[in-house]
Amino acid sequence: MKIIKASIIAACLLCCHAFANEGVAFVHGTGKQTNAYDDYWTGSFISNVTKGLPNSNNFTVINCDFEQYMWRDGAAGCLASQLTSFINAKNITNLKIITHSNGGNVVRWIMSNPTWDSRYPNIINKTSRVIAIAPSSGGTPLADAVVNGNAFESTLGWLLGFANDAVKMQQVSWMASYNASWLYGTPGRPGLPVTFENIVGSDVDSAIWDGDSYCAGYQNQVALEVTQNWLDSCSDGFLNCSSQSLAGSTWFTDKSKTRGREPLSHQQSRRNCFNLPSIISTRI
Amino acid sequence: MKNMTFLTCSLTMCALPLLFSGQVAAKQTVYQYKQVQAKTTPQTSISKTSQEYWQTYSGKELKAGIELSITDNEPLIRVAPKARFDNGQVFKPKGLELKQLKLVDKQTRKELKAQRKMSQQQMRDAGFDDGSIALASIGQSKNAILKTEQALNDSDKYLVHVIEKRSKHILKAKNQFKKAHKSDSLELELELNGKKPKKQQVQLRLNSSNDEQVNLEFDGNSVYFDQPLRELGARNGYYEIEALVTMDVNGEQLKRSIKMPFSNELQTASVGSESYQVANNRVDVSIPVTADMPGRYSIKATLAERQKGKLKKLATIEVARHVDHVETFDLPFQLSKKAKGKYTLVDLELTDQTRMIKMYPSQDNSDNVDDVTLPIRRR
Repeated sequence: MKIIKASIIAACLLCCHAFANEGVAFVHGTGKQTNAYDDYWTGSFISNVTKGLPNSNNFTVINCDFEQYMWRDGAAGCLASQLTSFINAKNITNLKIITHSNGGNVVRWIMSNPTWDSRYPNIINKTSRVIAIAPSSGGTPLADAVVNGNAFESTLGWLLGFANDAVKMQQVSWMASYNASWLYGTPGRPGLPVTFENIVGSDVDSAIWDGDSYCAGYQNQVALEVTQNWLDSCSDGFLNCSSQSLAGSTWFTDKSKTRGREPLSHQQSRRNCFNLPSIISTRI
Repeated sequence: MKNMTFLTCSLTMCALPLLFSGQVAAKQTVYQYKQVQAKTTPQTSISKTSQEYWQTYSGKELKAGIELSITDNEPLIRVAPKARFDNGQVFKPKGLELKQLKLVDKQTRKELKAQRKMSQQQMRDAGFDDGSIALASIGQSKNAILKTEQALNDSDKYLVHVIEKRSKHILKAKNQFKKAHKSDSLELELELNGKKPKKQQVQLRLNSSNDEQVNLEFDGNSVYFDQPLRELGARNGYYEIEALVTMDVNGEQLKRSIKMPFSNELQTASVGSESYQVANNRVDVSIPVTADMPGRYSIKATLAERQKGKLKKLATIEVARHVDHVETFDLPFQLSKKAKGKYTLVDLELTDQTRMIKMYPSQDNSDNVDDVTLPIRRR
């Protein structure tokens, strides 16, 4: 009887691993994307990440409206729809999700509110890992700065194309409230049901004599001088390190793994810079 | 027995999550957490600090020159055109020309040189796509006057935003996070350099998602609203109290602005007494929910067993469904083994998903401290 039980358990374990079908979803940050493959990530980033998959065709690039609040149908609802389609079409049983910036918040919404939508439980159960690149888990003081004094304009954001709901949502105090009531994974709150690990960008290399500054086109030293009025000494030019590492666990901080120990600015962390996509490919 | 063993194996290793979650009963969405969840506690307050201020001026005032309140040697001064809404149309003033924006000393009327001037393009690169321009690092400039020689329309509005990251003058604020819908007030504490401002030193306004026009009054401890707020819950974002504090400290005029978010809430539903059905390793708990406002609601709860006066938490589940008036929620807890003691529910959380309101019960059977602010009404 014991032998039968052990055999069944072993077979069961074997079958689960043998038939696990891995897939990767790329989830963009704030913005309304229609072609995130080219416009947000670029093909070289995606192909270098997906080479780590048993079947490198098992990936999807999400295109949703992340100018909305994370819980809206156009944001988390759209993400749930596209993930569900991908899971069903490719028969995915082991999903890895790679997010950038605010995409981490939208994924965390799904993981933290499993009954908000009847599609969420299946997505959570199929997901084994979220790799959150520079997630804005604690918001950014730059969102506050953009909105401050412009409350009236932000109510007309749809007209003016300015300070959309996603920007308002990423104000530091607003994210603190979402983390305290609606999202899991931050200190003092229940843990997320899925591993959520961060890649933290810690600095911006903007010296004009340094060719590395130009990977992904970040070369505007003046812009950095503006944003530093709000940010800590440890930041990726858009998010403080403390915000990026607030939810889940930190996998690594840029310089500890990047080629040449280069930092990753917020722009660079979604592009093929300093071997980042290859580092991620080893994790999926 | 063999069949049972196989079933156990399959559930544990391969399909456990699938069976325990998803659409178990029609109209219900069910998710059983893989691990028992810790009790969540409601947010009661929020604290912030500010080393900046912002004010709106007219084109006429900017042409005449406005006195800035600067306490830092390296401030950033941002100026942005503000939109106005007139006869169903949005108007935005003409963009500001950086070359014509100047800082002059109040006494000598000599121009103060800024170390950096940021154009609209440079500010856009930094994320300010509202037509902002900026001046930075202007040195000793406590008597600075900001003025433009540009031919602005007198009635157009401009935002002047002064950021003093290195200033020692810090405004601290703390407010009650949840405002009861039926209440006309919200607690707010303000402190600039350790001193509470007098009510005449504080200007307040309400920011809302739908531009509600509500007058606010401050008595030093609370903000009072002259009419009820329209939005319930966080679905359309938070309300904000925006405060501008102006105080004289050692002969210097200090200004600080701050925005404090809060949520306007009402208990929109209540739960009744639960009943239990036990079959092998499964415990079905039924809870009636009565909604005062129709919508989608969820219950998150942890099943515990009481043994010799102690509670042991066994599993956490979340169930959601639409409720028009009264519906029974079925919580199908699947356990790894049958409990030995008496079952009870703890850490109950009722969520109005339609309006985004969290409600917490005051539970007699909880082993935790009762620290709730919005208890669920039990019928």
